[in-house]
Amino acid sequence: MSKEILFIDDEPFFASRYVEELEKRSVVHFRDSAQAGLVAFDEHAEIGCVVLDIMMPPPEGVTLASTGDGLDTGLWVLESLKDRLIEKKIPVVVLTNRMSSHVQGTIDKLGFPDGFVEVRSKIETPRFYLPHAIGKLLDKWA
Amino acid sequence: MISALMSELDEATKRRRTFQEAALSAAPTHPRNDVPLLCRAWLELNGADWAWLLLYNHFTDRWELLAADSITDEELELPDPSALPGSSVTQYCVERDQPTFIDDLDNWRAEFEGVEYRVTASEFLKKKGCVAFECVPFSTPVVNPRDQDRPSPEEPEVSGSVCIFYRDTGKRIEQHASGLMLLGRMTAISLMNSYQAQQRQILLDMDVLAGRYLTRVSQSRNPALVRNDYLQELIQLIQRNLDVSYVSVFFRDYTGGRIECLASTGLYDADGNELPLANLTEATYKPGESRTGKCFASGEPYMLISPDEISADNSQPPKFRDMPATHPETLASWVMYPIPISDPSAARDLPPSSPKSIGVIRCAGYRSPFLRNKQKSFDPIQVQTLDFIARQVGPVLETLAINILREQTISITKHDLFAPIQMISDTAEEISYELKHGRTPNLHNLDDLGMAVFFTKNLIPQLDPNPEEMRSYSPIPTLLEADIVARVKNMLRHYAKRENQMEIWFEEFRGAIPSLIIDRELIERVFCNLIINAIKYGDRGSTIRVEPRQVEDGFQVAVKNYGIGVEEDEAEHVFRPNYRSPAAIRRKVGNGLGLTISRAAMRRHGGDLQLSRLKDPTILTMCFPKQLRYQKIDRS
Repeated sequence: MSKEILFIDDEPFFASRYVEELEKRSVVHFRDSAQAGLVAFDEHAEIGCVVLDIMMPPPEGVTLASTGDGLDTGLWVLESLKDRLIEKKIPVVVLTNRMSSHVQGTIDKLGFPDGFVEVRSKIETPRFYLPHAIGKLLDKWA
Repeated sequence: MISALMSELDEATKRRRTFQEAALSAAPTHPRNDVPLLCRAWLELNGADWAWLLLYNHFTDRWELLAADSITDEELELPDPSALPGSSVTQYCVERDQPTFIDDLDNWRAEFEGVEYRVTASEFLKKKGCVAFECVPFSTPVVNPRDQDRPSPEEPEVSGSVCIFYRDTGKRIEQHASGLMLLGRMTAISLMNSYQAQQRQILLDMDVLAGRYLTRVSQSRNPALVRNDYLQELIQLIQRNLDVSYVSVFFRDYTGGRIECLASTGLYDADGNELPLANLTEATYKPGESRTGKCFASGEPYMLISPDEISADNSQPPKFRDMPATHPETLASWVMYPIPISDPSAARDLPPSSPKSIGVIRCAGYRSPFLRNKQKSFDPIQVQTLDFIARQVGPVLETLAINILREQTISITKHDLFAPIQMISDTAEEISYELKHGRTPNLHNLDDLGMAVFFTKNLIPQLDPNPEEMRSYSPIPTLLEADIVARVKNMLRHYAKRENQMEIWFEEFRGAIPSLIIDRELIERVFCNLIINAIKYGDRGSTIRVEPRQVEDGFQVAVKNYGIGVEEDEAEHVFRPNYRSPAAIRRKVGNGLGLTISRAAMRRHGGDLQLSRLKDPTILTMCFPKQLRYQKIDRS
């Protein structure tokens, strides 16, 4: 797992444990907002995987309603990046505590290839397991 | 002689009956269908060549052409509605309050020599081949009890006139003035019936719509999506019934602090450029802006929401303001109608600077269905229809908003609970591993654990139906520095560093604040909450200062930070449950209860939590009254 990882999560305190674990194996670009995440995606051509939180504050310039008042900002990010992610074959791990059928349903509707976006609950993903999950995803889409 | 008179009377009665049948048959459908029928009935009754039906628009203070039986392109191209000849003709009739027949346009012109618009009117009519015209004013009294809150209930619902024009007076069927007045009255009533029939249909459609979506939202886990679907159908309904091109629906957020655009078919900025629908952030009214007249869509000169338009009791209808002719939405072609607050007691609880309506329906590009789809201003009936729709929409949007708030609260609470639990489980496992292998537990792991436990415990009062109620209160002698600050400061410093690369500077408590009789648990929660807020909403890499001091009437602890700050118009909201400022919403997801609970905890002690400074730095001050001082033992 040597590809660079873009990690987007608005809570650095809780996310830092995952980030530290990933940094042992790869270059990680951590961004604490959806807006900064989108900018980082354009800036770093070597990004091979995106780890994305769902419940984040809506970025400036985006209506609150379109992000479910921040509950679904990650889905908005996913939709914004969709074409580029598929084109560059960059798989996504959605790492969230917002586990609902709505999240999975919306991702299904976005039309990503099967297995391209993996939705994982944070509470069921110990930090040492995340690199393993990303590794599997990268192997599949390399 | 008598038989001739009788025959004439019979003929008049027959004609009136024919008109009555035509007018009554027009009543129960829709103005779009009925108004042309009314015009035709007038033509047939009087043997005229063409007819206009004009209404007085209370909002624009103008006479406006509602329908025309035979209008020429030349008339349609009139640049300014006030130049419409019918306006001056009608004005002339209305001033007299009786039917008027003018068969000598030159004399009529001469009679008002020097009054330019009448000169223009007579020239215009002559150019069209008109040799005479007859004008019949009409009006209806207020018949609808719903309209008690209109600005002047005495004002007629419909006032206007029918103008019929002759190219040849030989064909004219002369009527008695009283008969014409009666027919005018019948026309007004037919018009009212027609509009009411339309409103009944709207009510029915909206009822079906509301029923469908309120049922759907009660079964859905995604009420925001249900609301979006509802709004799309609502917009189509408004477009259909008001013949408008653009509709936007704005609604107050659940804290009452803002009005946001929820759905729109098109919005314009001050320069007339269309705003992309994907980006409606600018389409948000702050309470202050809606009162000063500043608006996203049009800038100062075109603003339609103003203190005049949304008054304290929501009674005043919107008015129109002059717009430059170059603007894509020309004069009076757009209207912003407030969605009234349905529960007056809820309105009383809102702070003074809150919007005085729960939302706004904005319609633009009203195209007259009668005048070859020509864009025109909203007539009073259209505005009344919009008022009617706004009243139906309010309670539905409120119910949907409550469902959305409930879903949001559950989601955020789950999120706020799962994150620390996951951290507790992760760190506990690592600490256990370290201890099993004879190692000293990593200090960061212990700090992580401490913060995670704090976040979990802090969630408990937020789940209470009344978070401001302090259920347990056990005051004991406490030294703030030794019993609270020393316990939490390393943990908070660790959190500040990790979360936002920030430092915390604690000033010496000793000497400033003696031992106090306080509930240690509650005060620790307030203390941590203030610092955590300062970290979350602070500038990255900045320093938070915690400064205790003794004042005349007690003791204070001030928490100062540099960050997003508090806007002046938000200051009164920050302690309200669930309130989150627009800037805070863009920074962190949350329920907006931290400051509410913290202030309640301070007040439980007889003290207070004050917002001492809005920004640069923002200062929140914990105030302890001097009565809390513990006299017997000073453990320092």
